[in-house]
Formats: sequence, structure tokens, C-alpha cells
Amino acid sequence: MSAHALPIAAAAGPPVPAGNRGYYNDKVVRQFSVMTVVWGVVGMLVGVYIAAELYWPQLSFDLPWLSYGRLRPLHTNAVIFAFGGSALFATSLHVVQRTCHVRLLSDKLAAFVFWGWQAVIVAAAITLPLGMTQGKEYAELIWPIDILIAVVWVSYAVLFLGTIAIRRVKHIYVANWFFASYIIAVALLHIVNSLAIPAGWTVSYPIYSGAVDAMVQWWYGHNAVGFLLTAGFLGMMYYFVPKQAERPIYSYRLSIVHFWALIAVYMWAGPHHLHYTALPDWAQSVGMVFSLILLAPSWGGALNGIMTLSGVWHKLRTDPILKFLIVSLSFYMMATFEGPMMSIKTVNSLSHYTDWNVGHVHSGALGWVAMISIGSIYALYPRMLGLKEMYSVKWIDTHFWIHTIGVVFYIASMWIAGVMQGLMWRATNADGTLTYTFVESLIATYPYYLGRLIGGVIVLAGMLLMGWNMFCTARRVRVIEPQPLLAPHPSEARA
Amino acid sequence: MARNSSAVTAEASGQKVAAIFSTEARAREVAALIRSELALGDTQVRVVTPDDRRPGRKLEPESEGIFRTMILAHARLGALGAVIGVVAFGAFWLGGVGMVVNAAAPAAFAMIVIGGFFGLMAGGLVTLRPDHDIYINRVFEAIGEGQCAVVVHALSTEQVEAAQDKLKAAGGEVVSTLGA
Repeated sequence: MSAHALPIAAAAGPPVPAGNRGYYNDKVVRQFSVMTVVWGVVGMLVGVYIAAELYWPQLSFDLPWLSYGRLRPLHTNAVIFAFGGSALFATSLHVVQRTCHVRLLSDKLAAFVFWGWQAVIVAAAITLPLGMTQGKEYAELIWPIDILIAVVWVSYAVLFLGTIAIRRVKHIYVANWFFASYIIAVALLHIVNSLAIPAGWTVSYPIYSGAVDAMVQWWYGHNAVGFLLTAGFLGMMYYFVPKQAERPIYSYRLSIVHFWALIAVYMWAGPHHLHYTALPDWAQSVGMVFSLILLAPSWGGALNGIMTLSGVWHKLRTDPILKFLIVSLSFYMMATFEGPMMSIKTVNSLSHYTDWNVGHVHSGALGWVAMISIGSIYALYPRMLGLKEMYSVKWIDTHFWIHTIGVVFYIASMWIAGVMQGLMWRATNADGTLTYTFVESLIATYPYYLGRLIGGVIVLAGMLLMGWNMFCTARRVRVIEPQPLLAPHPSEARA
Repeated sequence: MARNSSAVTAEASGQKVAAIFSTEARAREVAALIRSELALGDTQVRVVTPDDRRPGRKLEPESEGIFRTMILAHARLGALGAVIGVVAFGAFWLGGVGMVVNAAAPAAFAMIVIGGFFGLMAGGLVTLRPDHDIYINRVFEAIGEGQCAVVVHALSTEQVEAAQDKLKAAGGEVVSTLGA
């Protein structure tokens, strides 16, 4: 391990700044932590509702703003940007302060980022059910909200990178590399993909057209996965796994190697979303090849996280927070094996447009993203209140099993449904006609939609338990004492 | 410690028994009794107290064994899952299910892969051992309340039964994990 490997622990060093600057800004971290759970419950509740609609279509009550087509983007925006986003804001703003031994660059900017992001989410929750959309998956929000997102995100970049700039240690801890790359990449992706010519307050036309528009959209879409849902959460992993395990990262060198490999390769993988479309065949093949290469850096990071438990494997059974963190990595490995495999054009001809994709996405979203977020918030939240641990560690363990059962139920249903759909859709008779009608495949899928709904309800129940645990934890604290900056080790201190 | 007979775990002690006692003195007395009457070593019978800095190590002392279980369980159950995928494909194919017969290669591939995934998840379950949670949570709860626990890492069913009997007879509240 390098001497730089774990600048988390405090030691004697130069004196800390006086006054307010002598304390960490934990308020914004607490705010985002609480909103992570609030938006997690809301987003998953909407997910459960639309899953129920697929089984009982009458649940839309013929109201356009309750229709699946309008609520589905609300679900995806809520879980990705509101739940996942809040978790990333909370953890990145915590980690950058602790590892740089400084307070955030600006309290006002931090407050603007928090309230600005909440405004974006509320605006999305109003406009999407009203049918105001750009029609681009994961980039549905109308142009005025896109501008607000850009302003808030650039402010976040200034806040995060500005805090790194004023750090009191020489070294930039690896978690911050991942967080910084996700912040910069998401700004780039959002701004480029959202370029449009307004034609009214709620309508705009993209500056791209045809296959180029599709290519830009999936360059954005896949890199939202690569940078927001992967690099950002790897940043979380690189802080909270060693911290919770009380062990150094297994290989600091590997963390740097897989960081550069990941960010260099991810940018090229988007075209695999457009297999068998009007996109040039060579571009599809490029996307496939880069997707296959991605397996190596993805697994490099996951193994680095898992092997951090070397010497303390017993914690895998005795510490429920580490269960969340490590099992999230095993789901990450599964999803990053499955993704490249599904990007192979031959496999994609079976899986594309089926519920196998939904199963794959949720093994990543509920298995990797949600579990690493939940584990990190459980580790972080009591410390932000000056407590050693959550109100009930036993409830964390219960939540872990509830969540795991729910995820397995969900993804198993979608895997089986997806493979069945793929096989039914491609089956032909001797004369070349289709063996099954689309409706027959839909009827065959129904039982699995019920299985998915049950899985979703179980996951949601776990989130409600987490919310209650956080409420009980917060109730134990009457006054929150600010936490003083820890001085860096003299050998690490920046002149 | 003797090697256990399970095909998917690599820990010497397949089953654990714990008993809660209100005082450390009583717990140590019972631990000594168990060691002498059942001829168990010091590493097999541990006393967990509220002062322990790392009680988890006493409850799950085989750190490397858990790592080996993780590898073994995933490798073997992952392979078993893939084999079950092959068997499922064979059953559908022989049964003349149209969508499978019509696209035999993709169907076989998908069933093997998904069978393998199910097997890997079963490997994860074996690694985490949910049956240990009741035992671990109860001991943590007890030491949190200022009580102590005697923990027995059994190597055989006979040791489990004998330890349970002795601990109950000593007046302890006994919790056990499942076997294997």
C-alpha cells in the first residue's frame, strides 16, 4: 500500500483555521442524506405503481397524468437523479471535506446546490405527469429545467473542485478522482445532449437530427450509466468500504489503473444501445467492442473493493453495513458481466427490447447503485449527527435481507420474462410466418409482471424501514455539535 | 480444527452455539466447564464480553475460511446453476416447446447464463450465511446490555448437541446457527 493510500485518519499536523472555517459543513451532507431516503421512497413508490399498472392496466383510471408513459420517466428521474443524485451529493461533499481536511469552499454555494437540486426534482415531478417532455430517455426534462440543471451542476463542480483546490493535504484521495470525473462528465453529457432550439416555454427541437441525434442521445445515456451510476458510486465505494472495514484499499495502484481505463473506455460504448438500427454498422461494432473491453476495468474496481476485506472477512457476516457495500459490488460484477455480454450483437438480437434489459438495469440499479448508497448513508448519517451508529443496527440487517430478497425476486422475474419474450418473438414457422403473436407473448409475461411487482414492494418496504430508522436516529439528538476539522498528518500536509 | 464435510463451505466449524449469561464470571465458569467436559480447545470456546473491542472476531473467527467459502460456494454453485440451465434447456427441447426448438442455440445460451447467475446468487447466500444472523445479533444485543456470551464453534453435530445441553443446563439462553 502507498503511504498515500488512506489519508482518512487524522493525525497531528498544522493548526486548523479559526472560526466557522475550523469546522466541516455537515449541514448540506445531512440534508442530502435525508433527501436520499425521501426521494428513494417516492421514486420506488412510483416504480411500484407503474409495475402494478402493467399487471392491472385499469390503475391508470384513464387519467393521462397517471398513464404508464408519463409516470415511467417520473420513476426513472426520481430514482436516478433524485435518489441516486442526492446520495452522490451527500457522499461526495462529505468525502471531499474529510479527505482534504477543509470545510467546503462556500456555504452559500452548498446551500444553492441543495435547494437548486430539490427545485429541479420538484419541477420534474410536476412537468412529467403533465406530459411535458423532450422525449429523450433519461433526458426527458424540458429546456428551462435543463438550464436550471446546468446551472446547479456547474455550481456543484465549482464547490467540489474548489474544495479540492483549497485542500490541506498534498494528495487527492482516489475517491475524489472518481467523484470529480463523474461531475465533469455529467456536465459535459447533459449540456451537449440538451442543446436545443426553444419553440415556447415547454417545447424545443434538438439541434441534432436522425441517426446523429440517436447517437448523441445514447452517448449521453450510456455515459450517464458510466459516470453518474458507475464512477460516482465507485467514489462512494472507495471511501466507505475501507472506512467501514477499517482496512486500507486492497490495491491503491489498481484503483488508479482502473480509474483511467474506465473513463477512457466508457465514452465509446454508447452505440450498443442502437444495435440493429439506422446507425452505421461499423459504429455499432465499435460500441460492442468497447463494451466488451469495459469488463476489465469494471471488475478491477469491484475486486479491489471486495478484496479490501482481506483479513477481516468475518465482517461480511457481522457488519450489516458492509453486507450492503460488498453485496452491492457483487451485483456490480454481475451487471458488468451481463452488460458486455448483452452488447454482443448476436446476444443482443435475443435480448433487445425485452424485459431482460429491465432485469439487467435493475440488477445494476437496485443491486449496485441502491445498495452502495444505502450502505454509505447508514455509515454516514449517524456520524453527521455525532452518533456512533444508527438507532438500530438490527434493523439495518433486516433491511439488507428485505432488499436482497426484493432485488432477486425482481431481476429473476425479468430475466425469465425477457428470455421468453426474445425466444417467442423470433420463433418462425416453416413458411416464415411468426409462430407467436405479440399479444401471446404479452399474456405469457403476465405472471412475471406480478413477480416484479412483488419484488418492488419488498424493496420499497425496506426503504420505509430505513426511513424510520433514520427518523429514530435523528430523534436521539437534541443539539448537533459542529465537527472540527481534523489536521492532516505532517508528512501529508500541503505547504 | 478438523475439516468440515460440506461441499460448498470451507470453514472448519460448520455450526455455532452461543449462550447468554448475566455476568462475566458465570460465563467464564461455564466456558471452562464446556472446555473440560467436552474436551474442546480454547479457540473453540470463547467468552464475549462488553469490553471486547472486536467481538465479531470471536463470533466468526475463521476470516480466511469465510474467504475460501466465498470462492468455493460461488465456483461450485455457479457451475451447478449452469448445469441446471443445461438440464432445463434439455427438458424444454425434448418436450418440444416451440420457442426453444425454434432457436435452440440462443435458448441454450440464455438458460445456461441465467442458471449460472442463479447459482452465483446462491453462492452469495452461502457466503453470507443468513442463519448466523440470529446468533450474531443476539450476542451483540446481549453485550450491548452489559451481559456476556459463551460461544462454541462446533466441529460436529455431536459437539453441537453436547454444547447445547451443557449451556442450557448452566442456565444460559441458547441460540444456534444451522448446520454445515
